[in-house]
Amino acid sequence: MTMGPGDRLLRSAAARARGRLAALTALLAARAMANLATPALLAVALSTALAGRPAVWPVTLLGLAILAGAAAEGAIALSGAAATGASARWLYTTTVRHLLALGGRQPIPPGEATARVVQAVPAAADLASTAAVTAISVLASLGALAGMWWIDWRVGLTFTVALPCAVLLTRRFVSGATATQGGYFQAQAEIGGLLMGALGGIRTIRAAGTTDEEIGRVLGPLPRLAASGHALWGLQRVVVWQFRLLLPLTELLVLAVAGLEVAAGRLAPAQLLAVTGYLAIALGALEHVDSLFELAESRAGAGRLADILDRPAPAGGHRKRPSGPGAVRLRGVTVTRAGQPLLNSLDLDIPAGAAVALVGATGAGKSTLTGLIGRLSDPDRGEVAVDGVPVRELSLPDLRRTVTYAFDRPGLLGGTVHEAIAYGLPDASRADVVAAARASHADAFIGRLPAAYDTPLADAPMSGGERQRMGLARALLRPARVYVLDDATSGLDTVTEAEVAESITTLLAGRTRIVVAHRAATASRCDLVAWLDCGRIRAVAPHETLWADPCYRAVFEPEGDIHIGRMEACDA
Amino acid sequence: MPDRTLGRDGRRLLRDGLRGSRDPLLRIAAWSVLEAAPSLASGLVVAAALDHGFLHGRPLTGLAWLGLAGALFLLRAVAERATFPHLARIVEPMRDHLVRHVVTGALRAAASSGRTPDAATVSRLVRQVEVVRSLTGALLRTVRPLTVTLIATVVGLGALSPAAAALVLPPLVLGLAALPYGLRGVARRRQALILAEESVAARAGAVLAAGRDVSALGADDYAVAEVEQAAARYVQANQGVAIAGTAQTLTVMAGGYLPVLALLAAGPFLTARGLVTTGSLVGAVTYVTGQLLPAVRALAGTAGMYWTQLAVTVTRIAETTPPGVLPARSASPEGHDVVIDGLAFRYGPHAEPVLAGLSLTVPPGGHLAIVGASGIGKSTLAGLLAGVEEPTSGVVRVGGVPAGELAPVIRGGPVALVPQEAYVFAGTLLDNLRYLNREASEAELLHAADRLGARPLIDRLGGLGARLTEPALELSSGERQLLVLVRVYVSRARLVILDEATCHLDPVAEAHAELAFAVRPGTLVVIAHRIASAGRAHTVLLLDQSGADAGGHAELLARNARYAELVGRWRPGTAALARTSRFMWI
Repeated sequence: MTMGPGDRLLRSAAARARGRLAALTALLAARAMANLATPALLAVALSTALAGRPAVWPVTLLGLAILAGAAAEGAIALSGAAATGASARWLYTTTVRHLLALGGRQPIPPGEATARVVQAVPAAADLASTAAVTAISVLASLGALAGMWWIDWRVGLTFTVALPCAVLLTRRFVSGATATQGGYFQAQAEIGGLLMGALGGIRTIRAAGTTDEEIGRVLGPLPRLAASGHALWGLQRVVVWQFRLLLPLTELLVLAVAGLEVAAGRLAPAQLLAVTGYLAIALGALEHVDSLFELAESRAGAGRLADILDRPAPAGGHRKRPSGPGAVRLRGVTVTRAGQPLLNSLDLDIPAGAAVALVGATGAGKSTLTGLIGRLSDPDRGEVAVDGVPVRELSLPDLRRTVTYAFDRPGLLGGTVHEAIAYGLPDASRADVVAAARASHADAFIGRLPAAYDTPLADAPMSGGERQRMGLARALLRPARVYVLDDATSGLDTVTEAEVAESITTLLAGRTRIVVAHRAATASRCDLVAWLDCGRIRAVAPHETLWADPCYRAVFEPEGDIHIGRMEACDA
Repeated sequence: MPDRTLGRDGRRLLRDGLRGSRDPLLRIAAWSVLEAAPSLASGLVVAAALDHGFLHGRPLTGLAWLGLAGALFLLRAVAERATFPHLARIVEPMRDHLVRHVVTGALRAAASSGRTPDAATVSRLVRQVEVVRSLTGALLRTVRPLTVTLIATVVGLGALSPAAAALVLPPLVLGLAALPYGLRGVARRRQALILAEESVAARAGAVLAAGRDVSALGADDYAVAEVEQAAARYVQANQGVAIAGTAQTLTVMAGGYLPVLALLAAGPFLTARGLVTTGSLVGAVTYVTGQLLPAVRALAGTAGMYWTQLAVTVTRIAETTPPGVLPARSASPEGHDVVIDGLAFRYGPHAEPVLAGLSLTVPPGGHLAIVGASGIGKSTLAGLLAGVEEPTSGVVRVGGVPAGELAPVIRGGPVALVPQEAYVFAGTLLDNLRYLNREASEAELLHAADRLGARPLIDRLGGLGARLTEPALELSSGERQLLVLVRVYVSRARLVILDEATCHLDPVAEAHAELAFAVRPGTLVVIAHRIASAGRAHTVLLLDQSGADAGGHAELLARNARYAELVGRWRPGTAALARTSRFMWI
């Protein structure tokens, strides 16, 4: 077995449960010793019984060994669960944290990432304890082998010759199983991803009446899953059959030798029982096919987690947030998407305290541009700075305190409406939350909910516009220097939007606002408009000034086909 | 086995999953008889080999007995090997059935309620189905041979020495009788474990789905702490299962170890009375330590755990994904005029009415724009027009047929509702664009794409055959909306309802798209995202807190102050702007 990234992850996970694993190992060793003592004591007790003497002491000792074994057994289950638990907890938090840190940089969609984490973590967390169980049972096998040598060297020798064959078989099995298991996981995760996708589009599916077609599509990878499943059974069959043949043959060979030793008078009949006892223990380790299977599963699971963790997350810098007023500067910023430059050596200065609208056609890269300021993604080239400090050099917590966002489709988290607005700010008071909700005009509809701010989020179905106002309230609650409102009021009607804009202007007076705008009215309310066109800033000026340019008006003003022609002329 | 752990729904699901498994089960049962042979013979063979062979100076006879045992073991190995294909024939179809059940249940429930379940669904699909699969396999591989071993051992022991059997049986029966009580406790803890596991998945799923927001808010630590809390409860529940499981030790002590100690304690007495020979006492102990003890231990330990986990998991799957039933809607009228008559709607008995007594007629080929403040009920009205929402009172008729009875558009129905969230799935562009009309030719698709301005996008992606692997990441919201518009354009629908379906397009692209739909044959209803949409329509329906009003754009502008305000606010009223404005209605 080579050491893959998955194995390194498993090692780190095991390190979190070091103490518990040590306890588990000690208990496993205790049980193994009790089990090893049992056949010998049994033989003594039986010899005594066969000799017609009452076997009080041997039977008592045997009983004690059994009790000790049983006690160890119970404790093993508990410490095993504790060790697995500690690793699982670490793996859950580590992978979720890393996925969050990767943000838009991670190639796996959230649905599949969730499926991966949920499926792979328990398997991977189990590995250390499964490995300990397997290792100790191998050691116990060696002990049992020693027991056989001690009883009769010919018996021991016979067994020693048979053992290596089995070991060879198990090695072959694990490498084959990991690959097949990986294929199985892959198909399984695909189904999970497709299902999450379809659930996301349920309104379309519902209206189109295509539920049954969707079911068929989500189940598309099922035949592949079944094929991998059958392949796994085939693999197991070959190994199990070989074991089942190997084990009895080994056993009988040893028993035959032992029987001959009894006939030769070198072995007591009761010791034959000790030999069978040790045989069972010695072969027990090899019978752990299932645990080898589990090890293969854990490694495959860990490999899939390591895929995620191996992608480097952006590291924050070490600089504190500057004491400036929130001026934003972009220099030579280039972002390439699918080989095409989306932003091309773009320069932009956003004066501190101003409200600047970012205007441009659909797909021009407005959200990408604003995302660079808070490092939701990083540019391929160029530099973004706030108050003269490159955002890469800011520590992440300081960056988050400097730049905050409201989105067009905010993802709301938290148990209640209050928690959703104050997400990540557990100390926010109700008064603060209500003030933020008032400013975003969310207060009215929240007031109509059954338990107002304490209504569970799940019981508060919201329209797109209502969600936007929640997201806006969430951003307004944060004391940042730069507020990015990324199309954050697009779901509101024009009247409501104007009212919200007014209250935001009052609340955030003197703080920098960057407003991604699709509406002329939104742009006209801002101090300046930065006009994004063909990957660069074409102009920065007040809306009224730019309005004289027909190409600028074309961004907002629909006039049918003639206009489209004109716009293409502008682009050229 | 206690059946209380397996709920009624779970039992049905399990039974359905095992349907068609009768043949493989019978074959496995037949092979099991052969598998029993070594267990049945083990003690007898050892006793005979000692008594007639090794202890009487006839080692060859002893070896012959062992050779017989060897043949039986070989037989068992052959039998077990033969069961594997049949095991696969039971377990894999059962897993297929469960995957189908979960996917069907989740999608149908979401489609009939309109609510989307959280990421716990993915957890259920991926993990619980897998748990059932591996447990069913493990149970069939362990409990079956264990049962066979137990029966064969007791029979063999009785044949070898009735006196030994009399000593072994009472504690064995006692131990096995105690088994169900312990298992019940384990089952309860397991139920808690499954709930804890689902909650981890739900938390992690919610946090990851809103990952962009979490990062942008700097709430990473807070979000991770939430996941960690759920993980900690999961860990605790896991511990609970382990604690409950230790009760099974009693069964092993009583059923497995007590018989050994009884045999050993009574040994001197039995041999002295001549009730057992040396060989048969060794043979009896061989039966107990070699066969009975491992069997009882496995039954109480792994098999018991497997069974409770299987029962609880299957029940949980069955409970959370009831088979959803979708209403059969099959009417496909000739006409496509829309008649709204006394329409009222409210979400609950105590909720404010969203619509009250709305009446309006849209003639065939008409173009209606619905405007109004957010949250006023525009989307609800769209749902009512498409027949996916049920009115509280009143009716919507399309071509004379109540909207709720219309066939879905892919089965010849006349209505296509296009929501704000553009659903583009992983697959080829062709599959996506033919979603509502499988017969659409490539020429039709490209023509529609040209009309809607989606051609550059299609070309950029590499043509109609291009494959999208992760549409949400590969395409912007606006690009997805464009693709969906092409899909609807080529559908057979004669009433197209655009419910803010162009909100992520820039105004130019939006106008372009709406005009394309306006000249397409049929009726068009646009839930306006921007007021400009109203200017393009024949009729405008204004939904307002004070009531609904409908009319031509100029007409409404003149008589409805609220509407004038909506339009006025849209265009800042500076003189310079008014002079240059070129809206259709001015």
